[in-house]
Amino acid sequence: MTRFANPKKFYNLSQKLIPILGITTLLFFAIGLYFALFHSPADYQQGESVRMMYIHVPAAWFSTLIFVFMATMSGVAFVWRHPLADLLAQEAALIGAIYTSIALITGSLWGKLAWGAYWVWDARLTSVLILLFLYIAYLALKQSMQDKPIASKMLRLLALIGLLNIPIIKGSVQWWTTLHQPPSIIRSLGISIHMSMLIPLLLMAAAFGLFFLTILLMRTQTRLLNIKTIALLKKQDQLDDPSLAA
Amino acid sequence: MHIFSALLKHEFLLLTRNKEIFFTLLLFFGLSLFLFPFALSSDATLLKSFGPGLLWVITIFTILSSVESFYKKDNDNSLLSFYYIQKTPFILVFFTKIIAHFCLMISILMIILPLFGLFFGLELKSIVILSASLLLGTPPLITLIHFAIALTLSTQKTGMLVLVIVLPFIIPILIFGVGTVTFYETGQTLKQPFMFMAAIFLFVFAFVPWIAAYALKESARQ
Repeated sequence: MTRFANPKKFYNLSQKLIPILGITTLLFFAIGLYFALFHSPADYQQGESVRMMYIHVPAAWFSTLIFVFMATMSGVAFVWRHPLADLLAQEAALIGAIYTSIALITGSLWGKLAWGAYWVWDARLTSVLILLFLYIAYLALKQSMQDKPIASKMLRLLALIGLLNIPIIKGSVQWWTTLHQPPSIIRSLGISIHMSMLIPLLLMAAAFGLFFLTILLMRTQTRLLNIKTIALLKKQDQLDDPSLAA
Repeated sequence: MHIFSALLKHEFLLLTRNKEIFFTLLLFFGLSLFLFPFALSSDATLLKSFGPGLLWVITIFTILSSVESFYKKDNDNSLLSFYYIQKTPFILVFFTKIIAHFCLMISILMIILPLFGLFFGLELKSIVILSASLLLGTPPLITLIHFAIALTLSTQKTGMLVLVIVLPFIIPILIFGVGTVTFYETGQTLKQPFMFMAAIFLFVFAFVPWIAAYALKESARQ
């Protein structure tokens, strides 16, 4: 693994990987969407609106997983000082925020059909919303720090503390909604699932995961090029004006 | 140990010299509480059920609005960089700031709480429980908010950023803090919310001060 921690090797490897990953992503999306939209049964209770699940559930799964990924990368960067791990964590943040928003938007559209309201203060919905706030906090901090060297240090800390806090938030929100008595329909989310629905769901989950990887590699590549350009410009400035080198 | 007492003396000296901040916060707290009955309703039962939540939210905003004053001066006159050069343990710097802020908040709340109980029609027992939950909840709250400002110290505009960063972290404290009074009003056992609050208290103090001290140190190095 550590062999690819070298930015140049990583760049070359991702250069080869991106087309492969991109094509597999498209393939999985095509097959997954075909199964989800045409080849799976409509739910006997929810009707056709159940097909929203094939977008909603993978996005929701990855919304938490990406945060775990960010925190792991931040931990790696913290312990072993790999600059690449920092970049991976930072570039994953925006994708995670978008996945979380997709999960929230599809969830609220589905909620309008199933429960008759776009938003209910249910434990699961609320904790996903708070997760989105966590992503926004991370992105806002990243934005305001620009490219100062201290930025990645602070972002690491935020991701790590954020991960520690996710179970606390989930637990407390759960406790809070039982205090406020939630509408009981929501429990229908926890249905055990039939094979004909599970297969498209897993296909879509794989597609979402591959899509995440592809975009992550592309974003990290861009970021590496960006850093290299800045370094080269600095070097050029120093060559032009030696007094800057001091 | 004498570093700690010197730092503590420094923080309290700043607080006593800057009495303006105490009165500003007191006024902010009192006036915003005073406005809510007009905005919501003067109905006694409604006020009673909304009151503790309002008090908690305004406590959070008061802490947020005063946190910058604990760092701005130290950052402007490079005192933090001086600490870094002197190899002062930043964990002590962080703890003295938390203790000073906690004392400031407690002195404000001690004046506000009796008035709050009077105007929102809460019984003495509810006020006692609310005070206990505030006593247990404000230290982790202040710690988390100071952690957020330690992260953002190297940027110029911290105000809104601190609020955005800290929001996901303080929701659990808010939930359990308000929950204690709600549990009392509905006649349930108080053990559960207080246990949770104590757990959050210990959890926050086990990790956050050390990480925040590290962030402070890195910011001071800039």
